[in-house]
Amino acid sequence: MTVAGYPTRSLGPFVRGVVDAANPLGPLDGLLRYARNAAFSGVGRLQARPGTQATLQLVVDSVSHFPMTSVCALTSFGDRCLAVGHIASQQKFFLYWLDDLLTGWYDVTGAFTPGPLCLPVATLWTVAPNPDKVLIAEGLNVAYIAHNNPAGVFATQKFDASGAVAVLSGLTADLRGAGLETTFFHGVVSFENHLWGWGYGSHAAGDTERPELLRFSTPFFGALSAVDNFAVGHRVRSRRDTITGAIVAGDTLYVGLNYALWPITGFGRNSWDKSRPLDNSEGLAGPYAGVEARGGWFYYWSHRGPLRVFGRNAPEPLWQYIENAWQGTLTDGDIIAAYDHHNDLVLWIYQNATNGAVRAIAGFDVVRNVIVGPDGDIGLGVRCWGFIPPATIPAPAGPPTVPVTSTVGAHVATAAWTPGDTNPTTVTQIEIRVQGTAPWIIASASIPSGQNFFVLTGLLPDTAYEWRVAHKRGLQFSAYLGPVAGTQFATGHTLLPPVGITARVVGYPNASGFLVYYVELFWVNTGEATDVVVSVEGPDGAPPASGTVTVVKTVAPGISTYLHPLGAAPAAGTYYAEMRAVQAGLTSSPYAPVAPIGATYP
Amino acid sequence: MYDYFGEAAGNRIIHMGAGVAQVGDPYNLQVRTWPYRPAGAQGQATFRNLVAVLRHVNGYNIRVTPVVDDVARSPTTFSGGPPSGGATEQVVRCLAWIQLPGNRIEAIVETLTLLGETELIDILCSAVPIRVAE
Repeated sequence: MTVAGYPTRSLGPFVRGVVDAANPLGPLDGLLRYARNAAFSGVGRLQARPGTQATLQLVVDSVSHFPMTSVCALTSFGDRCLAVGHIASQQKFFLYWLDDLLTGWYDVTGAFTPGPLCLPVATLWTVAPNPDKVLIAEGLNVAYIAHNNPAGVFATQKFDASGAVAVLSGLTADLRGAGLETTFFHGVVSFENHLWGWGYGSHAAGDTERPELLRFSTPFFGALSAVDNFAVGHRVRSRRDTITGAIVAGDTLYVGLNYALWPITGFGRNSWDKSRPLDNSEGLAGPYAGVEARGGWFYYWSHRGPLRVFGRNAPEPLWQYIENAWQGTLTDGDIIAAYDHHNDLVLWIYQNATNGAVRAIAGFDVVRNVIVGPDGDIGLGVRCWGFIPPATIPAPAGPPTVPVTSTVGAHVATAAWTPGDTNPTTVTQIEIRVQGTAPWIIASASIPSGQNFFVLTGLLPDTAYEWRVAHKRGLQFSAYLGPVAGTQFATGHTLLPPVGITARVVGYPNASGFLVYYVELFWVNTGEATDVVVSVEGPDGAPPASGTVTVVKTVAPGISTYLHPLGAAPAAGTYYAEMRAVQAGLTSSPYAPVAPIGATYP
Repeated sequence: MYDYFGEAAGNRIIHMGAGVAQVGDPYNLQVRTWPYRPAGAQGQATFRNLVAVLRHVNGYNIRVTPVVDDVARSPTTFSGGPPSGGATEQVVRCLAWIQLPGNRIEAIVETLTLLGETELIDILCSAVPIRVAE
């Protein structure tokens, strides 16, 4: 693009994503140095990613409501889901049986109680001081639950929900010909209608840990026996070949070791093939470090960084894009891979155990094949991730209620309501028209859950309007709220003033590198979309009266900052500022703030 | 839409991909470009302005910071309400004047508050070469 003789260069669109370490003289068109909290949408749309909302809370019981101190596992289970919570003060792990929409919990009889506080359905392990990782495999209404660090103490559990009353019991197996014994798998996974467990030998002396051993059941989650196993890796009983995790992606069970990745494919127990590793250089960092993404691709984190693989092809490293992002990661095994199905984004999340910082150390858009990130801020420490699609999607629980119209100016008004449905997947649609017979115009069809207001803009002065609002979930609408008295209003002739005004004296380097001082003003435009007249003077011994400060600049609509130059050596004291919105033909807004705001130097 | 986090130091199950606020610390979109050298690796230019082109559906509040020869210069902030005239989205041009000489420029564009869906369409830079030296 060229503007009137001055060459103007487009640095985007940034469809190639991010590389955080590159030769700066190389071809960098369309690339960013970083893009924090970004996601791609459509054809190369770089957007701020959506946020998060809290749903259920896991507590110990209905009396004390002691909260869990960590949520260690989360997974779909039948038409519902399971969660595992750990409470440090009691040193226990609890199992929770929740509904598919995360609105409440079930007891052992399947009786449902709405949340947000949820009670456990069973106690998994006691005398367990640490919130270790927990892995869950599903098979025919039975959940198999393994403590990742069983140490011969925390037995693999079996949650049977097939009967009228759900039952939790230890998983037993005859793994050495001595009858059924308790098992202590380090992890479990369901693959081709078999239960797979790893890391455990048998009760035979010295056989409680087999780092490389992968066992599988008889079909349809039948018995485990001594003969049904694979020794994955190149060595027997070697911790160098420890199985770190096993995750199904597409038609392949990927078994990750410290420094190798072994695929298992086939069409049942008589054809399973694990004879060749895919990679003997980079393995799987931890049991949560890999995730299946769109199309059956497996994205995982190794001790070198992120990789991906499909089928039995060679794993493809992705770390060259984000060389700086993951350096200094102390405990690879704590990395959590998550797949954001809505944004096609694989995220690897890491919480520094020392300083508590939580980072998305990498994000990979699996559709557009680009890295976004690094270094997004998740906002809180994350222990696990789960994909819990709903079994059914209900209509919104009810329509919005209690309409209020406030902050009415010449071109804007604020509509507010009380939500009738607070589910995170519910959005709100608001429509407006000139009172009477004019057609409804959609002002927004995507007001997110948790936002119960909308600023209506672009209105004509001195005109009567009305709005209506409805919730939307999937393609299902609630009834409309409005038009009623609370949704009807008339705009005025006087503009609203800017809000959120702050002022400071700050120095910025000039072209020669010397500091020049300014009164720097920030404000927020209200949506009136008019010029803003800025007034600054000083230093003054006392605050001037409102409306008397010297006008210095008329700022164009949209801009919400102004630098008033003071020179390289400004006089010490307090400078004062105020501003108001102006537009020809309308009454200017009152001055804002109510009393001129001061900024002091030095 | 149906992805959830389990909290590491708490008891909450967190829904991903909802709204424009998040549980815990707030977040904002931040991007930084690679250096643009309009006059070559060793040349000199006057950087006139940076323009961030945004699409928004519910208002915007952003800051544009030029970085000239590795020094961050004074930022300019821009804010506005939801799209006007009955439109459900709006494209705005946020033009930050620079008027500084230098060899290279980078742009940092960041939201200060997320008010709704916000897309960074492009970043443009106008520069007049003073001395070209590839």
